[in-house]
Amino acid sequence: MILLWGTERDRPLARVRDALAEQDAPVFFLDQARAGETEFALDVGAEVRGRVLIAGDSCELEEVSAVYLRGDTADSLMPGQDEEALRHAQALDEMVTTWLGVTDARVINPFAAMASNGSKPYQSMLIARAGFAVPETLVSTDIEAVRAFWDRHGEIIYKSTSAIRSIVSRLSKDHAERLEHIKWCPTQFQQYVAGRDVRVHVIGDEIFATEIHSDADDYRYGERDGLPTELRALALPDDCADRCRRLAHALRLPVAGIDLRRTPQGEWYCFEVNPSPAFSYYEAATHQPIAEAIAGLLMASERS
Amino acid sequence: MNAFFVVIASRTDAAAAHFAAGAGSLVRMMTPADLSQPGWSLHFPGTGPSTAVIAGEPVASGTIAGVLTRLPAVTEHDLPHIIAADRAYVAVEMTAFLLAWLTSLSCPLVNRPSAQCLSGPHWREAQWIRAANRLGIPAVPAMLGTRRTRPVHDEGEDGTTSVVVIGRQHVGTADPVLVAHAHALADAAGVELLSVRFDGEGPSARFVAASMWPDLDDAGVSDAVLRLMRSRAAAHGDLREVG
Repeated sequence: MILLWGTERDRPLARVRDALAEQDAPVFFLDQARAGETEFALDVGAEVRGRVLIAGDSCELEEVSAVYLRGDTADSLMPGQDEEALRHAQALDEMVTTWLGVTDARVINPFAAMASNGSKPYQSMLIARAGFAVPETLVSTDIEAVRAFWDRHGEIIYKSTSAIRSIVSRLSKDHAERLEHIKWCPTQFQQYVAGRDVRVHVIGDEIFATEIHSDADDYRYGERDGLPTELRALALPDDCADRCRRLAHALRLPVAGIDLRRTPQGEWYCFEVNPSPAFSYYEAATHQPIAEAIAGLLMASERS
Repeated sequence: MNAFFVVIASRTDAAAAHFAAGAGSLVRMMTPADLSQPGWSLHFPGTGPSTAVIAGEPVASGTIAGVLTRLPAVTEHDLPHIIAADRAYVAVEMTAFLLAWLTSLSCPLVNRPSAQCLSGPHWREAQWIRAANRLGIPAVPAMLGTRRTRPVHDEGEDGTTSVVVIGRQHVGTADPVLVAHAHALADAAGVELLSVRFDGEGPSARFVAASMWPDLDDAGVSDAVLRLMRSRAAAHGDLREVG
């Protein structure tokens, strides 16, 4: 049995669900939107056993061979719900998370592996160890150190250190007054690296690369700022593709969305690795069979 | 400047403060409030000095001989000096920064942080029980459910016994089987500091729970932690000037 965790409105999850249905794969959909109808029981001892029950449908947890996660927090999924319903949804999330930590099923991706993305500079250190160039970075509460860093690199960007509010922006003179606020919390600055953005999805050993044409500092938000974005499928050079596979493997991520930038000099910089990539955005533009590849990974666990 | 150890702890962690005060100049306590001081700089890859602010004083990160991390993550409660609307965000940002800063240090870290927890692996109770079972250690099973019909287990400490693992040493029960079990669990989790609780004193006692935050108010524990920090730093060559 393959268990999917998330909501129907999540596009990547819907795409994987469709791909599994096309292959007649056995699927149990643990729909977070139906938390109010869901019961979950888990026994952890010499064996891990349990059952999830949604209305009349049930799934024995020991029969689950693979899990695909796209879950969100109960708080964000259930705005305006009464306290009791919210508490039940939170308890359910906690229970599922506990089970995912002890199950022998293949989990795509495990929370422990996904967590590296919660600290951008930490993940960047891991990326550098895997052989990619990473931008010069300063995380600081020291205004003079930031000014010196800015002077050295000419153009720099700032972005969240964590995964929250993580929008990339170029530092400009308009920010000079606000710069004093960094004394309250270490803030991340990076040298600006010019070049073309490339998103690489690593699915097992398969590589799907997409070249992004946009003038925005952060192309994900380009359309919002009136800057059009165009996505095109790209064949990566073999050595770069191999580095992407090695990086995903080093981070223990069977599915990864790797953000690269190729400089005009041909050097490949890696900015971050998204452990739960919203691949459907790229797939819709390039028609790369990413959902099918993820379904294949899940079904391989079902067969083994 | 003499080398020194840093204890990272919540401002409300009285045991950590007591531990640091008792060790004199050898140990300095850092709280999340120190992260709201000018002077922090973490450069990578490899250019520029890395500086920290410990107990209000700027220091070169390279002068730190070892770190004891008592803080799983920075929380809003640690940040009364930050305006309320920004506290949750700043707490997450500071946690992310601390993980990177700790990872950048070459000195010994007790316990080494994971991406999910600054004090070691973020294992839930069920994961400790699973690890115990995989190691062949008898364990009280966990029965969890959104509709609880049975208790998970006796949460009280009556009738239980503890072994605190501190490196290759331990504090607590002398039963060698339980001591070996506690060390095996610490090794499996990749931690040097672990408090392990069993449901009895004899060799057949079952594993109940584990914690990466043993009681530093226990003099035996705090002395052993300090010895561990000294020996790890000496092995690393960082305690040349510490008496």
